[in-house]
Amino acid sequence: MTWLKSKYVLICLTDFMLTCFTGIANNSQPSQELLTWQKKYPGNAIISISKELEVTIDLVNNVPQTTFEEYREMIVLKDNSAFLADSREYFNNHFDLEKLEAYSLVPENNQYKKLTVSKFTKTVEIDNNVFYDDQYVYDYTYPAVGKGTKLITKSVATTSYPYIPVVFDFGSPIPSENMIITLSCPRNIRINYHLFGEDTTIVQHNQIIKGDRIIHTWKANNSRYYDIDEKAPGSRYFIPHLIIQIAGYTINKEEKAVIGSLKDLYAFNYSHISNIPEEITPDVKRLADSLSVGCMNDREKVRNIFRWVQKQIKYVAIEDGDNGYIPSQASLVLKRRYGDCKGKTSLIVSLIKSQGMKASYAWVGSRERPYKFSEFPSVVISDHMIAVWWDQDIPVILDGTTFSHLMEDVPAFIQGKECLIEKGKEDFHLYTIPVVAPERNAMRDSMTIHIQGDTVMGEGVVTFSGEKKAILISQFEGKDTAKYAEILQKQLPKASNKNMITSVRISALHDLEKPFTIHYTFILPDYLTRVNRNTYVSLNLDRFLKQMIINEDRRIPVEADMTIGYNFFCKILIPDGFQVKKLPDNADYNHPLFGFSETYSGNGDYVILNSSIVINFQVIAGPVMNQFREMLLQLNRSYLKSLSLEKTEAL
Amino acid sequence: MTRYYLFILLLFSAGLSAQKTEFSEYDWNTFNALPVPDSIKPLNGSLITLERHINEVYLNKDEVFEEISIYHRKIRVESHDAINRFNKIYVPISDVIEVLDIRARFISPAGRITEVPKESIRQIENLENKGNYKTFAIEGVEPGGEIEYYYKLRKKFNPYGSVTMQGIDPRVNVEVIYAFPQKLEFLFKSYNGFPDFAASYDSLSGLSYLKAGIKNIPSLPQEDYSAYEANLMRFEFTLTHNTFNSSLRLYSFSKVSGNIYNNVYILSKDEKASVMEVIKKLQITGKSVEQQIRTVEHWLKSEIAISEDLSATPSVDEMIKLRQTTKFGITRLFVAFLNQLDVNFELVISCDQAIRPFDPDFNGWNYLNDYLIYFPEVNKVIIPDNSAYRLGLMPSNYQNSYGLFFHPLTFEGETSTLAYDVKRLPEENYRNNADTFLIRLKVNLEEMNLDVDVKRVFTGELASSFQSFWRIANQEKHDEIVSSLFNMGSQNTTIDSFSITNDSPADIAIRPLIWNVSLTANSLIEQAGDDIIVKIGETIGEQSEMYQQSNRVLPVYVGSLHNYYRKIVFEIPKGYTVSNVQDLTMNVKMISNNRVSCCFKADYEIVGSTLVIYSTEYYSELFYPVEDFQDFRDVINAAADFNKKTILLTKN
Repeated sequence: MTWLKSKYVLICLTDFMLTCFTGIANNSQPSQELLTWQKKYPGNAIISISKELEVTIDLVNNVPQTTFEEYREMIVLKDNSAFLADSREYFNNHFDLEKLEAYSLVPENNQYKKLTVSKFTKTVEIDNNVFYDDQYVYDYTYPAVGKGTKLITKSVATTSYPYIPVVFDFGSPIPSENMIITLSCPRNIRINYHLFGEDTTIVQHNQIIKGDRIIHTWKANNSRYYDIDEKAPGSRYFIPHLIIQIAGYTINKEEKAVIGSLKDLYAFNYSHISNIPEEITPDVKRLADSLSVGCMNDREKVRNIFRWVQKQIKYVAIEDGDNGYIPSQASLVLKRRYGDCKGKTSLIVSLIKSQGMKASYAWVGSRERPYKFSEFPSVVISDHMIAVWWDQDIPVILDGTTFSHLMEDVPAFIQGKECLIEKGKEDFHLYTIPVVAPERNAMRDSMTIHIQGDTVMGEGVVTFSGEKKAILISQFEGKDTAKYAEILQKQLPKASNKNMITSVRISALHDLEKPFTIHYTFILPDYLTRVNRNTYVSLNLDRFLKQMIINEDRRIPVEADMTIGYNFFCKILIPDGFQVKKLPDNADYNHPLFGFSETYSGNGDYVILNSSIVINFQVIAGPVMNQFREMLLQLNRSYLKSLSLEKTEAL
Repeated sequence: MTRYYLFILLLFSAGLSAQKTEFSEYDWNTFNALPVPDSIKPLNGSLITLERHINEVYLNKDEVFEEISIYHRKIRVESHDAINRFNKIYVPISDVIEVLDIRARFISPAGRITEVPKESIRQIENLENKGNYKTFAIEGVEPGGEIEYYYKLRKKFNPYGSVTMQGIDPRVNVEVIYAFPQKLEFLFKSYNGFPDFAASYDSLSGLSYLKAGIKNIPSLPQEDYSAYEANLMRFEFTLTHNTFNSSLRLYSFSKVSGNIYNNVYILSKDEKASVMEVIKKLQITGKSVEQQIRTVEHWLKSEIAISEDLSATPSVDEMIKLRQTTKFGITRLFVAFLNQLDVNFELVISCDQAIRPFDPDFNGWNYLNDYLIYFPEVNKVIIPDNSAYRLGLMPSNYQNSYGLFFHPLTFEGETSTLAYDVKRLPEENYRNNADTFLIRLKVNLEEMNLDVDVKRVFTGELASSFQSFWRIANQEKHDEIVSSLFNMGSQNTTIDSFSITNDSPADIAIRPLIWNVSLTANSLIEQAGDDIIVKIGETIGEQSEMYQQSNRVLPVYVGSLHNYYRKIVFEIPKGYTVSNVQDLTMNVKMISNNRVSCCFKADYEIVGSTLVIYSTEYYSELFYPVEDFQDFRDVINAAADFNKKTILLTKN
């Protein structure tokens, strides 16, 4: 997966570290001010006492030029806080950084003494997914960081690239007071804005007209801090934040659109692909022809094309300058045998078109961006590109960055998202990628176990389909067979970590049409409890979701990597001379978004546990999290039921 | 050592242009292709089929040493995963005067060659603060072929260094060539099975050579409880003589002593005054030496930020004023304070033994990485740049490791230089690093869970790892830590209340950290018909295990000497009988040098209506040879086996 340039806007303008600054205590004495904040925020080592962003938009040479003037102020509330001295500011090449200043205000004789940061080190930080990137950061160290010290950063940056939205967070990993964003622009510049995340009611908006200018102010205090919990979705889901986009402007009565509507956003996106030559190069055509040999229909051709790009074009993301937006040409991607999401899309589209079929580019946002094209058109929405093959008039999503997904399996991270599909310069199609039914991402582990001495032994077959299959294949691909047991152990842990996998056999890694299957055998010492005539054994050898705990006070939403249908079947052969005392009770929990069921059955020769769990959501928040917690509690309780066997005669 | 290194670089300032040398024209064909034995197969889809390192030192036109450094690699890639691991190349160029050549290509299984065009090679400025890089991706790659690239760099002369030659990927045809003018002399030493270097001289070119080659370097996978990096094949080298200038030994232990004295010990007037001002403020004159050391250490570690973002080390007075310094600067500060207080100490430079154990027989600067301060009277150490440690606590990375110890030499009452000794640092006693656990358990028959009261006491490193940050973490973080630390039964534990005592950095190495926790363990009771199974072994928290590992390659490195004592008091519910208790007795130990070196023991007694379980576990030595692995593994697994212990409650 790759990220389009809009990522930078978020990074650049939101608080990455623990940034922000004050209004209320500027004139108070340091000791009093410290006490005030310590009293208000006991337990916090640092808080943000002010964050102010002044955004001024003017028309310069008939183009909107935006100036960002930012001031952030934090105060350190505890001793031993020298570790907070290092800080980092993010920028990208669309900005001209005009000023960057940082200093500490250090309490001394009950006054603040200013100590300035003398050195900013420019460096480059690269995301794991990106091979080359042109964003840059400044590292610096605040002087004299101790209890009562205020840490201040000021910056001024300008851009004449009007598409960049303003993103302002009203919350951060530390409590944040006095957050204000002011936007001033002449009346002939139109803006759109939208608040996202949770707790947005804390934000007050005010708009005044002063002469020729419109001045908007949004402000908030937020004593809540936003830690990232386990299984949390991206922070954009819950941190309250404002996005402002220049919609357009008027010059000499002529309306100039920037991004005021979905149509404008499409025009902006389309401008990045409009110069890609329509002409299919011979090398691309040759490849597509060879992939189409023997195909009975278009779907088969597309399947072969998609699979070839998945396997043969390696994912390498180079995001410098225009490469962040503009797809490489198909022939170049083919020659290089590598590309990012845009490059892979470019090649897929070209290969499909070369066979006389219809294909399109499409923009989509990954799951971590909770935005919709239909709700608020902005360049922050999409960070990914995919290809679309038109099967008659039905769009078929082809994400070339996947490796083992079937053509029919859209990766989970873009399921449920709107995508903007190109249909020429003036036309587009807004399409919501369906979230697949849980049974499509299925995992079924089926085993037979028996007891030998004090050890449980067994053999199992586990099959995976959909997203789960793709994940498993990526784990096994290219690995030596000696590694298989270790991989399986990690992917399918058993109730006891003493589980020893004694053999593993996997189905063909590249036979994607069939579910991925693993046959395995195992022994499990020290698992059963044997007392006198009784033997106790839990048939819940797989304990899916056992590690997932949702605390009662959880505020951050819960994310599921994917919808999933999990099935577990365990048959235990009753050893000779034993009988089942009592079958464990069945259990279930039903909710439209999640649920489980466990049923026990059997006769004198065997007992079967049939268990299934369904996760049918991507992100849940609010009261439904309580129901999910309840389900997990009941599930975990069910895992604690053992089968009791009684000796009937001397063995 | 950055400071000295910069000093050397200044001496050998760079010339302006490249010149023709023995290897300056190096390309794909300089050496004949080397065959790959059929018997050596790729592992996890890849095999490095050629790895050549060439360093040629020469005098440039300005009579300054510089070097041509060549790195040439060829990798057979047989899977998509292998391609993804090897197709992106980053070439560090921070000490490079000129990039002479970078070439990269892919040779397909059919022999078709796709070369990376020059314009596809990009430069990244100061990547992650590690200097500039050239970077490129290999083009045209498909499984079954070979990725090949070399880069040829004109660099500042590097007089000493360490090169690791082994990793997870197997390598064949590995060659190292050092070429240099005859008037230079080097010391090379190979470790962990890398072959020794052979010396030769070519009278025609006037160059001396040191060469080492090995046909096959097997993959060395990571293993738990091992000093992985320390066991990889590598070599160390240092320049020893430059007879262009003099016959004196260079880069020796004695040579560094003078530099340390000048760079660390000497203070200006302003610097002294600034230190004295703080000492006065700390009000420590007249206190015991140990109290003085502790006060200074605590002040420096809580007030002064150590930042790698600072390009140069400020003066001592600046450090104090701005409360910030570098890793080297904090040592200067410690030395300045201790000298002003007239405390007897020895400055030590050593190396992390889990990465490159200090070799006392290698007289060079290679192992002079980390500063420590040793106090001979109390046989204790300070780690200046680690705020989680205090006097008397030392990370295992240095325990019993060799180091270069410096003590001042005085002449007519004035300190004038430093004398040195190569000695071992002290070793911690495992008893000082303890986790004592008192657990009281009561079955809640209605809820089918366990009510638990825990008192837990940490000392040593175990305590400091919390004391160093507890007070600056917020409530949410505290809750998270307590939940994970007192997790009984796969995280299904509810913490009802907790308190903590001696949680400040000022308590480190002085007072134990004490936890009192009340919790409910929700997943330790299993119903089995009318009987109840209590998973009592899980009350001590999930233990490390090595069940899967059998074919051990590396010697054991315990990582930290420590001991645990646990007492579990289980209240037998009225109307029930407890059984299966005999399984609770365990005694697994490892004997080394005729004493118990590490062990796991557990025993029980029934006192009235309570079952009391006692367990002791300790690890008293840091290293064991690979032959002892099985015994060590048995002890580790014994603790994990205890996790599986259950008792049965049967209704009377």
